Amino acid sequence: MKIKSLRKLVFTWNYRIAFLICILMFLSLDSSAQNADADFFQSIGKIYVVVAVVVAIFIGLILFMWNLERRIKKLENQIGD
Amino acid sequence: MNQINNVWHLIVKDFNIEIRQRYILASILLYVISTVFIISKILQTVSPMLWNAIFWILFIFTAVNAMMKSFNQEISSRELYYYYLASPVEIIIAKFIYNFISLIIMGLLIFGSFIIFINNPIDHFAIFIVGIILGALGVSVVFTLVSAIASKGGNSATLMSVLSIPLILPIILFNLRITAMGLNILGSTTFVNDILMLLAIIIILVGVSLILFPQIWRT
Amino acid sequence: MKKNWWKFLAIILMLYVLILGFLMPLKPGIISVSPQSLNAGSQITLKVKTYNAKLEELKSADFRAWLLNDTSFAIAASKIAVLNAQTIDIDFEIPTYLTSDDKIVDYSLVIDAPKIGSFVLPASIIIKQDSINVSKGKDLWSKGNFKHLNHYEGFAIPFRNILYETLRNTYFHVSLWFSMFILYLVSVIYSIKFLRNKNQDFDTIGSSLVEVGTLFGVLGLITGSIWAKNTWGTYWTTDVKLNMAAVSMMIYAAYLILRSSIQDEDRKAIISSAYNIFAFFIIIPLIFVIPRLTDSLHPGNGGNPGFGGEDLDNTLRLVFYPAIIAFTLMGFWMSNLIIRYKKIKQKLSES
Repeated sequence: MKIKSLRKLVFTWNYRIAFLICILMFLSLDSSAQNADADFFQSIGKIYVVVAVVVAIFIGLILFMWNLERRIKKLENQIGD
Repeated sequence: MNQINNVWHLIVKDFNIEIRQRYILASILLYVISTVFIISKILQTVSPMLWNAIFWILFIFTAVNAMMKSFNQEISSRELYYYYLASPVEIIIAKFIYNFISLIIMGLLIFGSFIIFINNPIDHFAIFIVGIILGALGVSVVFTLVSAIASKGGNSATLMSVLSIPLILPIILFNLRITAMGLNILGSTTFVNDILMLLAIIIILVGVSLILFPQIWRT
Repeated sequence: MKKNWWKFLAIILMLYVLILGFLMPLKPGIISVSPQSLNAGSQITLKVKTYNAKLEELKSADFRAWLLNDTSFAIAASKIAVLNAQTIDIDFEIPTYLTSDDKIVDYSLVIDAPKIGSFVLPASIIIKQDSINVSKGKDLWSKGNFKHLNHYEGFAIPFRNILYETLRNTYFHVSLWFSMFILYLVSVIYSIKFLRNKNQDFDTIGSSLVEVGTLFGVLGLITGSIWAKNTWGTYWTTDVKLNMAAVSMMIYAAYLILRSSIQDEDRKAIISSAYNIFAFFIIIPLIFVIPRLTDSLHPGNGGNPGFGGEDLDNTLRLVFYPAIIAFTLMGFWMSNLIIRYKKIKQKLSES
């Protein structure tokens, strides 16, 4: 029982870490672009800023779906038991 | 007439409890004075702007500490009996008034210890006192309902601070402006306007909590 | 199928917003001018970097250019040469006297051509004068013949300095906030409905709407900070609207914490509904009153927290309003999924 709950904890943390890594990757993408090629986000009339914003919203929606899927999986397991 | 009587009795009951449990008052006093003492030791010289900010921060945290127990202590059967006699609206009005008075006293206490331990940058004394009174009014309105919610929500110590500090922000921002006028950081041309706006917000919140409190109380 | 028409509407509007939002061109504009400070009485060649001006399609003779500080005082360019697709050289003979009795005066550069219309870089050039003679200056500066300007042909969104293409973020960032507010408003209505007749379904709807609204708010903060990094230079500023938005996110995060801290379902529903209503009445001054009192970097500062008038061009409206509807419908759709999940969960726990 204890091991099972521990595993559960690790799994939920896996998701949280995945979420964090997603955010960090996104931020690092942004900041590394700033360092390596300072002009990338400023080029072509800053159009890539708009792209970054749309990608951020997209990632938000994906995370929402991921989270919902996890919750539904729990229900499925409950039905399975 | 009966309602006013009930409210009056509830307020008197609260003050009686407060006076009987003298350690609560003493602990708040000690909390305020020791914090102000630490601030005065850390910051050797305090500019008026910083003075204003620290004043309200200390005010909020003292208020959170004091309000936390506002509905928690009502567990014993005697208090249940009181509440059996009085309606929820009377209870919340009594709590408002009681919290308002105790917050004014607390505000003046903090104000006094600031003047003694730090310095006295006040230019317009009356404006500053109005700021404290309105702050006590706004904070008491918000914190009374939030402490009712938090006490029904289980572990109320953390819940209270999580719920109340973001909620108090709009009222504190207005108070910061009003007391900044008292400290002459800000011109006092919009004084009346700010006060009216703050009062409007408070009146709306009072109305909302009078409607909501009976719902919470029944659970 | 008939019941789901609004989901299709959401998809179609979303596609419309994405496609038109990206494809609608930006009007031409001036990105930079060098040199920026000139002396009165000199002859100068300005190197002007333009954006979207389609210079290769036009001849040098099509162009006209002026320096002006008021529509009545202007001088015309003496010679214009298109260098490549972005840059253009403009020669000016600056008169000896200026139109003001200050030593240093700001002038705006206006460029005009058929098809692409006229565009301006306001207060872009500083001219210094040694001797002052206002009446002579006014005489010299009135020979510009600043009239008969062309208009842009076709649909395009306005060119704004510093913002450039990021003006398109209006469709994504701003409409997210609008739809967040709509979601919160609807959730408050359901909370009130719940407190009136204690139907558990209403609480499920209200709390799901708050969850999605909070997601939208967080996305609004993230997209806003990406935008801010590239226009104001930092991810986070002390701007009022930004901080009030962050505080309202904190308030709703506290709502979610409150819900998870209560075990009993009935009590959870009643208390969180009460908190939701109370929080909404505190959010209103946060969003609509306090930004009026202080200056903001956001549009509509100093007196008017609204968003409109000069900030919202008709061509922007064409995409902006559908974007609000699209995001709101998406929000309803997302909360619908959560509602169904919660209902199944309730049924499972009952059986």
